[in-house]
Amino acid sequence: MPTMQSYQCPCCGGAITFDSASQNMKCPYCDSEFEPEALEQYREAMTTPEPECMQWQTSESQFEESEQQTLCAYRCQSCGGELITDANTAATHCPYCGNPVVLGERLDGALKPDYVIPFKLDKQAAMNALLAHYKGKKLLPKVFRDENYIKEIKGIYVPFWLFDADVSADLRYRATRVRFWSDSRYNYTETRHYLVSRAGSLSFAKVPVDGSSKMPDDLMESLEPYDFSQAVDFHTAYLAGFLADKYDVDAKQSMERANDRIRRSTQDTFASTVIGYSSVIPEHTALQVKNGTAKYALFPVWLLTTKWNDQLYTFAMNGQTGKFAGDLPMDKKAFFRWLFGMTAVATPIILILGRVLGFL
Amino acid sequence: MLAITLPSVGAALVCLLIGFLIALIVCFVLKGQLKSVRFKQSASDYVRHDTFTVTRAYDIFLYRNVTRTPKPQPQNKK
Repeated sequence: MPTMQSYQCPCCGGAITFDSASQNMKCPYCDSEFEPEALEQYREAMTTPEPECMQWQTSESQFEESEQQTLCAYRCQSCGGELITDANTAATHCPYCGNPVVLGERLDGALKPDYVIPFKLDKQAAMNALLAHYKGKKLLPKVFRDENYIKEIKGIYVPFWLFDADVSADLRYRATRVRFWSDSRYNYTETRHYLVSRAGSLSFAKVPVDGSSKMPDDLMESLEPYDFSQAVDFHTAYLAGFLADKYDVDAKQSMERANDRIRRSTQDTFASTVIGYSSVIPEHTALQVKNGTAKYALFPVWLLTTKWNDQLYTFAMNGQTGKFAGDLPMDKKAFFRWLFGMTAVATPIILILGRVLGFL
Repeated sequence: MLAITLPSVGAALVCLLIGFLIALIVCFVLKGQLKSVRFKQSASDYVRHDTFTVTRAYDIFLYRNVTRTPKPQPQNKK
């Protein structure tokens, strides 16, 4: 039977959420605070197996076969309302009573994350970061800035794969040194050619790769880095009050992206030891990854969406560090205004400088 | 007294072109400020501290090329 967890206050019974400021579970009704681990133990102690209370609809309102694989129905433990979620949702809000719910079995067994970085920054911090993101952008349309209406702000725990690896590298380069001199009749250029070889090793820890196909990979990578020292062992209590998805891109699929980044870093690191040459061209690179492991973690992301000129703009903020990213539209008229205005200012200055310095 | 003379058309056009190019560079810098979503190319943030070791490093000289080009000679005065 699909079950879901909503965390209820042991004092007043209200629905409680994770509070990023105190890093504890907090009841919005009676202000009581609880440690997530203690609340988890309390919930387990209070939970009694319930009989099957929800059946898949098999009558005329049956899901299509394809929908059955992607949609699931749950009954809210607070109000009894039925939630329809997609197959990857792990935490959400009841659309009827607004209570935060965690769909526990989505994160059980092999799907259980190893770590979670709890939210450190709240929704207001995300709003402030968005306004700061607009500042100083001369080509941002004024209408977009002034009439900006944020359609939605969501705190989401995004699934990430974290790759650890020891890398052995064997690299070969062709390099040249160039020397110039001259005598009374000729200019000489001497090019000395070298074969440069380097081998060694380095280790990587917790290289993150986005494990959700719904999240744009470039947007998620723009929010890095996360401070992994603040990660804690996973407890579902941290998800209360936020949205969460389980991974739908597995570790094997994500490995390729981690390998690309590790290869690039290894090449850059060894290339930095090849110095004193006029040119260096990599000729051969062989990397061997040893002790590679992948861990599963949930990272906090504030996602903000807005619509302007029928186009959806998505911004994201790292829920731990506050790093903000999101592409902004350009005011084409402002672009040409700046182009011609600056040309008009720069041209006479260059003319005067040319006269003063004597090259015009 | 500083004589104020009009620049030649050629000089004015050169200044206009340089001014336009400077303005174009500035505008593209301003346009670049609007883009903040990019893939991370490397994993340099995740290299473990003090794990980089070089076990082999040699540079072998292979060969050299020398090219020479004649210097422009001053013309003889008659």
